[in-house]
Amino acid sequence: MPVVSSGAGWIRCADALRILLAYGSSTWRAAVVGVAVLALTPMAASAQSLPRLHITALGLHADQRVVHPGQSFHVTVHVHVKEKPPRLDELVLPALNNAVDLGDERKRVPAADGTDFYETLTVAANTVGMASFSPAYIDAIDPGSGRGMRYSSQSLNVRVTPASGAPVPESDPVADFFRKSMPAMVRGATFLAVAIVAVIAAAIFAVARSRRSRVANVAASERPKPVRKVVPPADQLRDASAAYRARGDDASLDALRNVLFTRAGAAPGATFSDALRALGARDPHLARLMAVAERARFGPVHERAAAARDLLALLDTYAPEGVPAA
Amino acid sequence: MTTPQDVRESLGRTIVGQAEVVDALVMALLADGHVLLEGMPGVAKTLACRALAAAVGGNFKRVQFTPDLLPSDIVGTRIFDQRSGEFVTVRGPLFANIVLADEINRAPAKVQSALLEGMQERRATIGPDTLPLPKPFAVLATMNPFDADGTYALPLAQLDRFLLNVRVGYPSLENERAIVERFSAVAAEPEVDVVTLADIEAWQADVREVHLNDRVRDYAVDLVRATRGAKYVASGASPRAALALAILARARAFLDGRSFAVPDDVRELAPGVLRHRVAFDYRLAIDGGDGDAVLADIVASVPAP
Repeated sequence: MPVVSSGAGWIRCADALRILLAYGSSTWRAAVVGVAVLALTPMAASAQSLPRLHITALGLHADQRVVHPGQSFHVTVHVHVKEKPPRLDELVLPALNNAVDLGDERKRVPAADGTDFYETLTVAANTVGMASFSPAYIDAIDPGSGRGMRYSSQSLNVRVTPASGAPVPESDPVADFFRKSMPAMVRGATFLAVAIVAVIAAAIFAVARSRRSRVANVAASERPKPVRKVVPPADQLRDASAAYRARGDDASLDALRNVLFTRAGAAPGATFSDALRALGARDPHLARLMAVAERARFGPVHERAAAARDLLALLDTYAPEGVPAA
Repeated sequence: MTTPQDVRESLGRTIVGQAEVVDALVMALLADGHVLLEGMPGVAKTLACRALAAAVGGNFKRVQFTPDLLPSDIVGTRIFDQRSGEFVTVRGPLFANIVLADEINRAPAKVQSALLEGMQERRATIGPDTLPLPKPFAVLATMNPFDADGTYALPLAQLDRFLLNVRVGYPSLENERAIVERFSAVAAEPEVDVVTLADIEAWQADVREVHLNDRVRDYAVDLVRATRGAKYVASGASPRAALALAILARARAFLDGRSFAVPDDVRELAPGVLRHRVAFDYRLAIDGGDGDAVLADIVASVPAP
């Protein structure tokens, strides 16, 4: 969904500014004017040089969903415009986190209904975890409305798993700290700025509203906030066990195996031996559970009923509280 | 009562280390398939094959492949018997239970074809006679992939006849010390007649009874299909690779004493089954990559059930 962020769009918000300035002390008004001038000046300037484009598609795709550290893969930004511009210099490529840019390739493909631009980045993941890519975006003037718009793709995450048999590479703690902290600091600063503007707007709105109606809705402020239910791993196992006990089908057994493997510390898509390796000697009972679940899931039909009974009996005697959460 | 584990242990006593090679040989025997062993000279490729042949009671023949070898040297020929005044068929070394084709890539394509035809069809034609090969029948071939001078590369279609391609690497430091200690004074003598041919045929029938769950079967198919169109891959593995994965997964389960195959069986066997069935393109050589690493990535990209 396009986001208005150009100077042209903001200048049309002058009415809102006037409302902001109508209330509060002179210091307050000066602060609001200062923030507005600082925010609007570069945008108004940049709006003059924005291209006029009908942008009908802007996507961000990777050719791999799971990679290993050091493995190269491709991330492609695709833009479709109705016009036929020779270049698309205004396209801002995604910022990389936990990945290094090895090179990029631009391609312009004329189409019947416009032009497709492909910017393919060749990247390699750094360390085990998640390689993330911020949204690619382009600022342009929508010819239909004449307004400056920011068109933005979705963000993208690629899972980075250790290569099979390869040790997890050691990382530089200082570099890791800065690499991990920088996006958080930028987000924090952005959040702070947004929060200040929101507080100002909320205060103005509240004053205006209180002038219209002095009736305070006390009950609403005392309403308890909804608490988001966090399901601990033990509950997941209990739920999966209950589902398997109730239904006893392959799907519920698959879900139970996944919970057991996760508890052992294995990633999704792992095999029994992966889970055993991840578990080590921590929990022999869990190892037995997984072995019996393997027999119950993949064993021949005449063995599965007995294996299912064994599995349920083992689940009954399993004490997950004593096991470290996966 | 003899079990496949007895054969494995017997081979393990002759071959120090190389447990993967021993397992591969026993599994291929159980799956009624042929094995191609690749590795540097002196890493016990031939010894491993000899040890298996000795452990299996039956007929064993060894053929050293050379550039001047003829198809009749493998399959056999017809000669004129002056006493009877008739042509008689003389069977070649192919008519054995275990055939060791040493340095298979040193013989020209015509000889390789004669051998590989026998491997696939389980019979050989000598003159007007088409004769069945004995049961069980297994070809264990060795090849040194690094010394390419004077060799004839096996085409993919012929490599596909091998159920497994096993890379025989150098032993570990401890194993190498043990090899020198045990065999520097006395030559390695494989244990003989550990198992009978009847046992092997019975085991091969039992392996086919091992349960292969639909999801494990699908996992094998998914792994094979993932090789097609993968990066660095010029041509992917054929459906025969999926068949090989399925029967070998059963054999591995049987060797481990299980009545059912699990995803681990398929995943562990995938490199050996796919290695010689996948053709890599020029980009792999340009990037200095390794085919086994590409296969490992492909296998890792397919989630196990």
